[in-house]
Parts: sequence; structure tokens; C-alpha cells
Amino acid sequence: MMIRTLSKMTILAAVCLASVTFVCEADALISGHECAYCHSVMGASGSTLLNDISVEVLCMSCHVSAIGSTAAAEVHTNGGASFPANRITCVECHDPHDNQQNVNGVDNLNMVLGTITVMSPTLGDIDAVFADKDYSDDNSYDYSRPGGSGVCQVCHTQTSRQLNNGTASNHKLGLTCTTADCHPHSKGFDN
Amino acid sequence: MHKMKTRVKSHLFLLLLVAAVSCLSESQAWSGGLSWGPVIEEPATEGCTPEDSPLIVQGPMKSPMRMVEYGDNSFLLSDRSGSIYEVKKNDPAHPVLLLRIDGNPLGIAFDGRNVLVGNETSGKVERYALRRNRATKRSSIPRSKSGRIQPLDIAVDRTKRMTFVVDGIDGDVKVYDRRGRLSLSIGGFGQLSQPQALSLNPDTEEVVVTDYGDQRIGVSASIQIFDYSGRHLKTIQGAFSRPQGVWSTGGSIYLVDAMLGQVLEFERDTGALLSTNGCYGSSDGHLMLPMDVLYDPPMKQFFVADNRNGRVTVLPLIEQ
Ligand code: HEC
Ligand code: HEC
Ligand code: HEC
Ligand code: HEC
Repeated sequence: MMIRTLSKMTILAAVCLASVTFVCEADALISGHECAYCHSVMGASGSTLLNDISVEVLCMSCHVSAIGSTAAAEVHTNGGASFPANRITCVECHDPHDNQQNVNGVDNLNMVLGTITVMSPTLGDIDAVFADKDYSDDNSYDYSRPGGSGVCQVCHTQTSRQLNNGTASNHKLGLTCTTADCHPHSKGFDN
Repeated sequence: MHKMKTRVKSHLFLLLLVAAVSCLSESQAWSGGLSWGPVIEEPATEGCTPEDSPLIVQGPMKSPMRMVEYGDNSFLLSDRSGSIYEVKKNDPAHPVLLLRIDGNPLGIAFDGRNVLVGNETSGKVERYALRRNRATKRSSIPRSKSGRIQPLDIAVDRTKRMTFVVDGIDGDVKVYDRRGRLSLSIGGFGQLSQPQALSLNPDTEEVVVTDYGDQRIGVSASIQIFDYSGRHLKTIQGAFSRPQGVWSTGGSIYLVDAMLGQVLEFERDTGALLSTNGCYGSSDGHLMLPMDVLYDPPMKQFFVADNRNGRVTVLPLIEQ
């Protein structure tokens, strides 16, 4: 209880500080977000925000549809029945605040974590690289990388493609994995 | 790297606390109509206690969005993962798959003959005629090939044959005539910021729209009421910040808040909060990211599209 109250106060303080002096704003957030989007929301108190599922509700209160035109998202479940049941929520792949540095010292895009903790199967902390979406410029991108550190490989041990050991990874190499026709985020990458 | 950041943050705690204290007194002064209150509120809930660590219980649907009445005993429900279901009011736990949609369906409506589906992926309101379990796709709105909207919610006035669509791209309510031609845009000049959903009241010819507001410029979440010609009639604000689906009768407006996990009832004329129903969570009767509400007057109950729980939840109206 004490700890909760404290963390609530820290958040409150930081949010207020940011709003008054703008110190945090420059480096703590992506440009599409503001502190008040997630803190100071009815029902989104500090203590509930520390729970992954309520963070998912918070994110989805906006990303349940594409704001503007692109940003619709959904949790990653395995659509097919061939894999063990799985449900990967937003903060297992995203930092809520900012783009994180990856193992190569470059910032990942779209707030994707530099280290993803893979719980099922239990692989532990794994470096995830996602700094390049464009294949056409240099014939490489980070959905899928030769060694298996691409964001759409790091967790996969049982899929027929895009495995985390870098084998069997050249399925439609060069195409963007997340387009509407393939594995869109709005359908949890499942299709 | 990230752990490092967190540690630095907690060292800053004392400094921040001081800032918070001064901030508390300061922000109270200017918080007025803003949703950016000094205290991060947890709502009071009646009849049930919010869960501390809810688990998501995925129902038969992946992402239920909007609902619309379909005959006397059923309603239709859109699932963003690509399906339209028919749900019997007396058996809401067993939705029946009616249509598969290529894309992400958001809004849904029924004009007496056709099912109208707002497809976010195609950027159109698609019309489907249903005959003997076969769906035939008819013309879409907007009719031009290049015209794209984000059809967050749809409602039809059957007698006037007008179709109202919340467009998330332009942030307005577009009104289409019987031929699918755009006849009016409501709220597009700053009266609406980020409209989400709507409900019609054909008797009084009113359009009730929920709006997230815009935190960047200090505009709070609200309910906005217009007449059919687009004239603004009324604004209702209250203890909500993520208003989604709405249902209006003559005197009352029922609203679900996606974050609170509650159905709030407001009095149309005074804007007063009349009742609070349900609470946040995943166990039976709790709501997680409710997206739409349908009120069932004879039974005095609500049907709620309970998005994160992947189900339709039925709640009794608590009269207060
Ligand atoms: C997109 C949602 C979102 C936005 C925007 C956001 N936060 Fe947070 N914040 C969170 C979540 C979720 C947590 C819970 C802790 C976690 O999982 O890292 C959190 C936790 C915190 C904490 C607690 C310490 C920590 O890192 O765990 C502080 C301080 C904080 N936020 C400050 C801010 C400030 C200042 C801003 C604006 C510059 C901001 N936040 C914007 C979602 C957000
Ligand atoms: C399995 C990992 C994973 C999970 C789980 C995940 N994301 Fe993502 N997210 C990504 C990746 C990778 C991208 C970049 C996709 C791309 O651009 O191709 C991304 C992109 C996004 C974007 C930007 C989309 C765009 O088109 O600009 C948003 C918004 C987003 N995620 C929100 C969420 C939310 C909200 C959740 C939880 C419901 C979530 N994500 C869960 C990995 C994930
Ligand atoms: C108040 C609404 C709101 C909430 C809550 C919210 N977002 Fe966003 N998010 C936005 C908007 C607006 C954009 C910008 C969209 C655009 O540019 O099209 C955005 C963009 C993004 C992007 C892509 C942009 C980039 O530069 O990388 C990601 C990833 C993302 N959000 C993740 C999240 C996650 C994860 C959460 C929960 C921790 C969250 N969002 C909560 C409104 C929200
Ligand atoms: C945090 C871990 C994680 C990340 C990151 C991740 N996945 Fe997965 N994905 C899984 C798991 C677990 C499975 C089940 C199979 C397995 O264990 O290999 C799976 C299975 C799949 C499947 C097959 C099952 C289905 O749903 O149809 C597809 C397709 C898929 N992932 C796409 C993607 C794409 C595209 C990305 C990158 C945007 C991605 N994944 C990133 C964890 C992840």
C-alpha cells in the first residue's frame, strides 16, 4: 500500500513537473504522445498502471482503432491452434514512454523494447533489433535479420518461418511483415 | 539500459515530490474544465469491487466493438478481428457468426434491409444485403473510389433514410442521404475533437456524439448533442475521460467509458449523473474496455460489448 502510494506520487510529480517545466518531454516521449494521455486519466491511477493488463486497456482505449490512419494495434496471440496458447500484451514488446536503445547502440523504432523478455517458451531476456523498416535501400531490414535478432524472430521457436536462430527466415524476405494483407498489428500479427 | 533509467528516476523522487506539492496547488487553479486533474482518480464503484490484478478471460470473440438492434430479439455486433455476429438477447453468451469481413470492422448499423459495416481497412461503410444466409455486397460509402473515412460508428434514421457516420479521420459526423451522397458534416469546425461514437434520437431528431476531447489543447472528454441540421444543442461533461459507445432515449443518455469499465447514465436536460453501473475487471459482470452499450428497457438491463474480455456482458440497471 505504502509503495503504491509512493509510486503514485512519483508519477504524479513527474507528470506535473513535465507539464510545468517541460523537462521530461523532449526525451521521454515519442512525438505522438503526451503525459496526460496515460497519467491523469479517470481510472488510470498509478497503482493500476503498474499492472500489464490495465496498461493494455489504457493503450487500447486509443489504439483500438487507427488514430489518424496508421496506429491500430492488438495483442499477439497465436491464431492457429497448432501452438500452445499465448497472449503477449503491449508492454512485453513496447516501452510505454520512449524508443529504447538496442544491442547495436541504435534506438529501436515505435517504442519497441531493446530487450524483450520471452516468457513462453522461457527464453529469458533477448536482444531485439528494430531500427530499420526499409528493405529497398540496402537489401536488409529488422523484421527479420540473418542471426535471428529481428523483431519478428526473437520469440519464435515453433513457427515454420522467421525463427529466432535465424534459420528458415527467408519467407517473403523484403516484404513488410505487418501490412494489411499479411500479419497486421490490428489483428495481432496473426493472419 | 532501461533498468538504469528507472533507478535514476527513483533517485529523483524527492525532488519530484517537492514539485508535486507545488504542482498540486497550482494545477487546481487551472484545472477547471480540463481532464488533467491534480489527482489521478479512481472512480467510486457501486455493487462490486474492482479487481487488483485482473486476468483477461477471452470469450468467443476477439475484439467486440459496436452493437445495433436487429429485430426485436437480437442485435448485431462487430468484432474488429473481422467478423459480424448476431446475438440473441436471451442468449448473449452464444453469438452466431453472420458475416466475415475482409478488414477491421468498427461501426455497424441496420437499415431494415441491409447491414452497414464500417470497415477501417477499406476506409468505407460497406453495405451487405442478407438473404438466406448469403451476403451480397452492395455499393459503399463514400462512393468515390479514392474517398476514405474511418467509420468509427454508424446510425441510420430509417424514416428519413439518413445515415450518420462518425469519421475518425476528419473528426466529424458525416451525414449521407438515401443515395449515399454526403449531405452534411456535423461538428467539423472545432465542435468535435476526436468523436468516437453516436446515437440517434429520431423522435426529437437529435444526434448524441461522444468525444475524447483533446488533451493537447485542454479540451475535456464530453457528450455533444446536435440536431439533424448540425446545430449544436448541448455539451455534457463529467467524471469520464474515454467515452465510447452511447445509447440515448428521450430523457437519459447511457454511456460506456473504456477506462472506467462502467455504464454511466446522464439526464439529457440537466447533464446530471443519474446512475453508475458495473466496474472494471475480468470476472463475471465486470467490464474491461467496454466499447458499446445497448439498453433493453423492458428488462431494465444493459448489453455491453466487453472488448478485452471478448464477450457481451449483461448488467442490470442500478436505480440510484
Ligand atoms: C503511452 C502511455 C504513457 C505516457 C504517454 C506516459 N506514461 Fe508514464 N507510465 C506509463 C506506464 C504504463 C507506467 C508504468 C510503469 C512501466 O511499466 O514502466 C508509467 C510510469 C511512469 C513513472 C514511474 C516510473 C517508471 O518509469 O516506472 C513516471 C515517473 C512516469 N510514468 C512519468 C511520465 C511522464 C513525465 C510522462 C510525460 C513526459 C509520461 N510518464 C507519459 C505510461 C505512460
Ligand atoms: C509481439 C510484439 C508486439 C506486441 C505484443 C505489441 N506490439 Fe505494437 N508494435 C510492434 C512492432 C514490431 C511494431 C512496428 C510494426 C511495423 O511498423 O511494421 C509495433 C507498432 C505499434 C504501433 C505503431 C503502428 C503504426 O502503424 O504506426 C502502435 C500504435 C502499437 N504498436 C501499439 C501497440 C499496442 C497498443 C499493443 C498492445 C495492445 C501492442 N502494440 C502490442 C510489436 C508489438
Ligand atoms: C490518448 C490516446 C493514446 C493512448 C492512451 C496511447 N496512445 Fe499510442 N499513440 C496515440 C497517438 C495519437 C499516436 C500518433 C498516431 C499517428 O501519428 O498516427 C500514437 C502513436 C503510438 C505509436 C507509434 C508512433 C511512434 O512514433 O512510434 C506507438 C508504438 C504507440 N502509440 C504505442 C502506445 C502504447 C504501447 C500505449 C500504452 C502504453 C499507447 N500507445 C497509449 C495515442 C495514444
Ligand atoms: C514477444 C515474443 C514475440 C514477438 C516479438 C513476435 N512473436 Fe510471433 N509468436 C510468438 C509466439 C510465442 C508464437 C507461437 C509460436 C512459437 O512459439 O514459435 C508466435 C507465433 C506467430 C505466428 C504464427 C501463429 C499465428 O498467430 O498465426 C505468426 C504469423 C507470428 N507470430 C507473427 C509475428 C510477427 C509478424 C512479428 C513481428 C511484428 C512477431 N510475430 C513477433 C511470440 C512473438
